[in-house]
Amino acid sequence: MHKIEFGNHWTVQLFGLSVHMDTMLTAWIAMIILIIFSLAVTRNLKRIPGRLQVFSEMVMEFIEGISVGQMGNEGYKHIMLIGSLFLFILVSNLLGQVPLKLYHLPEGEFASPTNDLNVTVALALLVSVYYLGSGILKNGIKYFKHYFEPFWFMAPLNFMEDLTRPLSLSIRLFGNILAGEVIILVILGIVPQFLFFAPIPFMLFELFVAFIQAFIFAVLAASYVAAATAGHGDNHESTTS
Amino acid sequence: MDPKSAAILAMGIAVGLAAIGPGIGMGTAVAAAIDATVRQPEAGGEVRTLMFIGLAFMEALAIYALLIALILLVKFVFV
Repeated sequence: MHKIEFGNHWTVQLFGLSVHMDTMLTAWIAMIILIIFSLAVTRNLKRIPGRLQVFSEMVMEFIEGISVGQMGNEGYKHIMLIGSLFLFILVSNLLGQVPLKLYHLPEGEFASPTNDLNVTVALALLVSVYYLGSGILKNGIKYFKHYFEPFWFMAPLNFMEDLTRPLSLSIRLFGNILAGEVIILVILGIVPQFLFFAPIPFMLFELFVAFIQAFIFAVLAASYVAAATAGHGDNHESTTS
Repeated sequence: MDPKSAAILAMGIAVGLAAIGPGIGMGTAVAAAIDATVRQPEAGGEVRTLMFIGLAFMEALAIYALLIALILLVKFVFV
């Protein structure tokens, strides 16, 4: 029987900070994959695209659809953040299904970087700061007026929304990815030794979950930015708030 | 009852109870999305996006219970 454990990380003291080294390494792997991918697809762009260029254009159009679909024409300005979040989370989630666990660490093991609450909280706080900042840049001091709408006594609720948004964003991503890994461990624990391939259907489902979670994160970030930058005068229709 | 067995019981009850509400909600939401898509197939893409956003909010409720269960597990069972 496998020992079911999670939340153990290879903690290293680095410049007076305690760092989860396994999370750092896998996050760097995800970033290196993305950098190599983007360098490879932007090298010698052609008018008549090749197979790789068509793929990258499809990815780009998908991200544009998320951003512009939530924000309208405003979306073209924020496409960098939404796209980076989507691609980084997608690659990180998919990294969890690569058998990196075969390489043994002193403590803990290689898994998705989004398996660590620190990463997801950092991403969610980034979104928080970004939508507050872009709302203030767009509407100036009038941005804070929306706390007192529709009635002044709604202010505590509206303020609490700003706190629960990063909480639910980070916990949702972390919980989904961690639950996926724990489920695979549990399945491995309850089947006999020769059925070691039993978790494969669940791993295929995890591929789907990885995509859905990255998509949800990007769409929610886009809709938060859309709600913040909507302004009060113009009739911008934001589908979700 | 010692704290460890209480924590194990609480974990099971938490996850089981928290799955009820989101399950009912997701059923309603998906049924409505299918209904909308069948009535108006050209709006299918938009309906699907909205459905996934809504499902994410509902799923978050169950995930909170999972988180509480994991906290209990780490605090009381693994020590």
